[in-house]
Amino acid sequence: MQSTRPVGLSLCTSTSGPPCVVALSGTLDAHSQVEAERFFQSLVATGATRVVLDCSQLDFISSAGIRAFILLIKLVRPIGGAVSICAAKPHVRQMLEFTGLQTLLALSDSVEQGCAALAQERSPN
Amino acid sequence: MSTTEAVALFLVGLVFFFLGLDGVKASLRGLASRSMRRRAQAAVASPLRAAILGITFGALSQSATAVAFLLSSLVSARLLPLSRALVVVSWANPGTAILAFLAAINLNLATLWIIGLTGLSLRHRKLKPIHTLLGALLGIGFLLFGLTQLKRAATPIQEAEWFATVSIALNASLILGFIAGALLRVVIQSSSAIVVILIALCGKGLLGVEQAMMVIHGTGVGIGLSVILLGQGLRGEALRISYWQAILNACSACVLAVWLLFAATDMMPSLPKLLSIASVSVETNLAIGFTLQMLLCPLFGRMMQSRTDAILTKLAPEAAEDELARPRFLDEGAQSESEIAIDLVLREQARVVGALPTLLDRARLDTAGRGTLAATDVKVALESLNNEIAGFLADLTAQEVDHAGGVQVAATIARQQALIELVEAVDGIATTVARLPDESTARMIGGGLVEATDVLLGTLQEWLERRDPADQEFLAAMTADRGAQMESVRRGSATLDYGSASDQANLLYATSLFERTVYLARRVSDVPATTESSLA
Repeated sequence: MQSTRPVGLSLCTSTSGPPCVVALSGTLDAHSQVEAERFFQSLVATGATRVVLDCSQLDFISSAGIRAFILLIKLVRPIGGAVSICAAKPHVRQMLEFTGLQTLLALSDSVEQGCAALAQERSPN
Repeated sequence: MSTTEAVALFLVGLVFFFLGLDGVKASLRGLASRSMRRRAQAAVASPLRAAILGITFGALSQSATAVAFLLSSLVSARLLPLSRALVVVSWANPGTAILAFLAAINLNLATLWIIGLTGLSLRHRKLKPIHTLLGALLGIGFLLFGLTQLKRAATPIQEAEWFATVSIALNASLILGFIAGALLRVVIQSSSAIVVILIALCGKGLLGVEQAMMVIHGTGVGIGLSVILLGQGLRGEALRISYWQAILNACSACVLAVWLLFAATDMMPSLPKLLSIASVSVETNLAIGFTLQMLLCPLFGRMMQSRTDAILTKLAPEAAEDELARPRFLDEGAQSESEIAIDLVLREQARVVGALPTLLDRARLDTAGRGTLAATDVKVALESLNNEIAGFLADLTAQEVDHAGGVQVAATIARQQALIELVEAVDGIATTVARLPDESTARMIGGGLVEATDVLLGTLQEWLERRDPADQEFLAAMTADRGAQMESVRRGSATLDYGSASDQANLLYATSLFERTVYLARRVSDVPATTESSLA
């Protein structure tokens, strides 16, 4: 099953925001978890508080990847921020739903919906 | 007995030996309560007691190999501390020698009685409370029966003509005799039986007393080889006992062999020569040589005492599952303050939760997330650790505490019960999902449940360790009731192409186990869950 998945993760900030839109593509697993976490940490360090994760090109996510998302939420929530996960492929979305974190991860069908959802959130302090 | 029969008997012996070993291990784990440990540790409280126990074990089992493996099981079940077990092992060696010459018990008959009586007793419902003990005894019976069959399988060797020819050839070289002794001990599995054969060969004039003595010394190395060969599946502390037995026997054998070699150059008198001055018979001569060799084992044990730990840790590093099975925070003094005791239990419970993701490894979609430990070893270690925690809490309830303390203890016991069930549920998910064929839709969904379980367990561990409010919020969402969500998966699996009926059944079962895991995680966390409707 692993062999059919593309190896590696690519992260890029397509819109600096707010909200900041980050496009993820490839595989977010135990191999790429650290890379993703570092990226999110540096993103928050540069001032991003509302983050939209565009997962339309994300082919696979494992528990390690979900932990990276949880870290991002833990980083932005204390500073009044929020995270929205958008356009996830059905199997990625199902995996996220299995965790029971759909409310905290704010799942949206498209990047536009995700941005709109975050716009409704109150401004950071 | 034909060669084919002997080989078959040898294999049967090996099978019974390993069956017995597994049976003893499993039963001792069931017996490993804190009170049982206190009793076992009292039996070896001083080096003298440990020595007496060792001699008794050796005398009764008549096998240094059997004693080494029995003690490995006791140490694995944490009934005996390794340091004391090593003393018992070293003294078991002279124990085997004493009985071989003074009062030969019919071990075969005793073994048959043990197997017969314990086997039949196990079928008796009224004896259910002592089934674990009976299981341990049956395991010992199988282990000894296996060793007896291994010895019996070697009988044709003694009767073969070539054996007499080889024996005569041994007269040409003491070194050859030493090697032959080592090999014979591996095959025959009884040093005392070898001594009896040697006495017969000396009596027929086929072998000189000094050559026979060298063969006896060779058996010391053979004991070590046997223990290491039969202990291939052992790890950590259990393996250290095998190595210890091997080292002690090899040291004592080599020292006596070197003495005999020096004596051959007329630099000093040999032991047989010294004994012959006292006009002892060949039988007694060899018996004394063997007993001396066995007595040197505890002596070497004593001499190496200060370096034992360093040597054995290098040879057999602590297995990760041993480290996991050993409580890190619970000790006898920890129960004095109930509040502190509860906090320590919580830390220990967090360790159990922290190790649970390893059980999921075999069913993960993310192969990169797999650890190196075997799930079966981790499960056994977690069962052992859970027993320790439950025993600690049982002792805590016996203490007088105020009402608030009592409520806290009761809540912790309830959490512990949920934790024990959580181990089973998580193991069940992994086992069930791992049965699904790779690349199938069912496997992908099952794998999703496994990955989600991993996230849940990771968050639960962090919550138990740090009590961070952020984790509480995540945990509340994660442990919300999943009845409707899983029902939706089950409905989907019945309508789409989810593989064979067996695959569908496995996926259905996995969803039920997942629901249970979520529920148990909530009970372990004590976090009030958000309602499922709020997640929709």
